[in-house]
Amino acid sequence: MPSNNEEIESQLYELRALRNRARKQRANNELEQAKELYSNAIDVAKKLKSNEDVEQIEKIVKKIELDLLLQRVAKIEQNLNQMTWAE
Amino acid sequence: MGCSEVFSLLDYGALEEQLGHLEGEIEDLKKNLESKDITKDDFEGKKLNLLEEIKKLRYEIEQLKEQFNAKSQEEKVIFDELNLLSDQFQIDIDEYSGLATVYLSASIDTHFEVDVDCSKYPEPPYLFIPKEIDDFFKGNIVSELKTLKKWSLKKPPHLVDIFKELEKKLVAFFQRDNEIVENREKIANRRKLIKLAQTAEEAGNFNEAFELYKSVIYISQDLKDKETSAKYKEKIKEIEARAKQQ
Repeated sequence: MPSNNEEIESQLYELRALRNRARKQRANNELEQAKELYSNAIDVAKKLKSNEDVEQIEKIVKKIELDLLLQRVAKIEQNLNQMTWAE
Repeated sequence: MGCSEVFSLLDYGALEEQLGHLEGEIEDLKKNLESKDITKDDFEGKKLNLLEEIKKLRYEIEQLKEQFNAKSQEEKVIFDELNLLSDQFQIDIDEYSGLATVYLSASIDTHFEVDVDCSKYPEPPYLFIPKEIDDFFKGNIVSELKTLKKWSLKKPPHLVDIFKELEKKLVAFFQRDNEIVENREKIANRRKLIKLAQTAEEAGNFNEAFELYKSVIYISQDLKDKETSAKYKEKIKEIEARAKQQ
């Protein structure tokens, strides 16, 4: 539990800044880095005991995880399409 | 049902396992192809099956992802606010996180990016004010924004109102720059008119020259350039005299 208002303010700022940076990395398709930052943001939100934030960010992380799966799917599909039989 | 419940570890885990299995099968097929340990028909058949399985897996992942796209009532309100903002400003939105970047122009040459966190709307949003704006306003411009000062949770203003007020302040601050640009255009226009007037004068088209010099005087007066205005008033008198002599 944060000991005083100053500490809460500082953690709130950290949470916003992390989310903001993560959002931009996600927009640049830097999914692993975005996921890492969002995970850090979840830790801060937990310190703040903000269940709403935790839930909201976890939802985003899960979407990123699915996007990462889709990236892997695209990669194996490409690899498979490049395979051709040669006599 | 909450999203975290929808997204069970089993769903994600099962999809990841399927993907891992497919990755392994494709790797094996590649090895078999390289070592010629597979017939052409077997290879083609296996490839088709794998492509079909990939298609199915992609669909399942997208279906699961789709479940997260359903918006709660609060998210819908935020989404509407961001849409309203996008009608008037150029913005980058992440609708699911409630964060956005708003691009503001204070003058033709001065532009700013302001990030905003409105994930808690109808609570007041948090503005990430760039340092250069803070420096210009020698402190925190946010505390000067009436829309934020008078924020009411019962009747929250629209997000766009904050940015309209912020932009107004920035435009007022950079008014001088705007005026310089505007004046630059007027001066360029005046220069063109003087050239045209001189050409008309040389050709003996005094009426045309007279009208053009009059426009030069109007622009000079608008620019509060008394010296140029006086110079071309004299020029007009001179033309009138020459016209009478003709």
